[in-house]
Amino acid sequence: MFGYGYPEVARITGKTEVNCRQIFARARQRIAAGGQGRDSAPPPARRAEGEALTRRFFEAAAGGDMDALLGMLAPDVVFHGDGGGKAGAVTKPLAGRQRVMRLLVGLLRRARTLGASLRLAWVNGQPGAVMYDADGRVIGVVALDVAGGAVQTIRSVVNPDKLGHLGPVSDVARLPERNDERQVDR
Amino acid sequence: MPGSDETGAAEYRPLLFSIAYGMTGSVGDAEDIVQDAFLGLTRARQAGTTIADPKAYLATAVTRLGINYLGSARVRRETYVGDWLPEPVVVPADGPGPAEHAELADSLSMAFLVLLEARRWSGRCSCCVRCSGTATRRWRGSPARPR
Repeated sequence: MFGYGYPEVARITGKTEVNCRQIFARARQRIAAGGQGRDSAPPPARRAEGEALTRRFFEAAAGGDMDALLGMLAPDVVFHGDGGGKAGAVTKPLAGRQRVMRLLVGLLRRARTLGASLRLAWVNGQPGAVMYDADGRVIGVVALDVAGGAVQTIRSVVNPDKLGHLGPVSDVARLPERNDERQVDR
Repeated sequence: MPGSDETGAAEYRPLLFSIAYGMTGSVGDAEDIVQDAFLGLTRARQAGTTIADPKAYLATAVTRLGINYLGSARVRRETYVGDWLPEPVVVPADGPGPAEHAELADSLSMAFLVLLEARRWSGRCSCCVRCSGTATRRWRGSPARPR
């Protein structure tokens, strides 16, 4: 995948060449089965579609247009949040349009009271946005999986430990330390 | 970045970062690993070692450092609260920005990195099964308890 042939990969990883082929083939199958294969559009078109929908999605979010937002979510949309126990986030993936919508309504209401703003960005090659607080510090990063004209997956990273490389990190979502310990025991 | 230019191998930095980031899911730790690998190359040359293929040397070093990292980070991940997602590699959509890792991020989507993370877990599970198998055999081999 990184421009290396199987013999080279085998030498680097200390596995046999046959094993490396098998691991790569299995990984490819799992990715295909994971939903990215359901959209048959060629990559550039898919990328443009994703970008356009993401732009509309965050515009609707910023403008509080809940009907437009709901219309862009796939029926089986999944929301993943990573707070690492240090910032407020869902601890289990949330599935279904209604449930995800309720979560988004709550998050957006909170964002508005905090004076937060969104800036569109490419996150690991996917369309998304970075959320900033009123002082321009990073609250979190959101990435969307877009396929078939709808948002299939929302991934939100608000764990402050994972945002430091993007600039000053906001503490508006940070949980008190004692909360942290209680959740680790779970 | 110190230590990279005099090695004459700075062109491999994006490749090495993508390997390290793919293994760790962390931007900062991946950069540290790449830096350590370059340091290792410089030291090996200073010690008089001839390195015919710096690309292979560095890729091997990064992979080994990545495996060490996973060994140490495993403890931390065991108690991870909620969903694990990688540290995001962000490129602003409007205008130029810090596009350092832009080109490689395309091949390392969040979904792919979560998949790699899950593979690590399955590897660990098979290890647990092996360990528990040994324990069972040992237990069976021990003299029966008086009952």
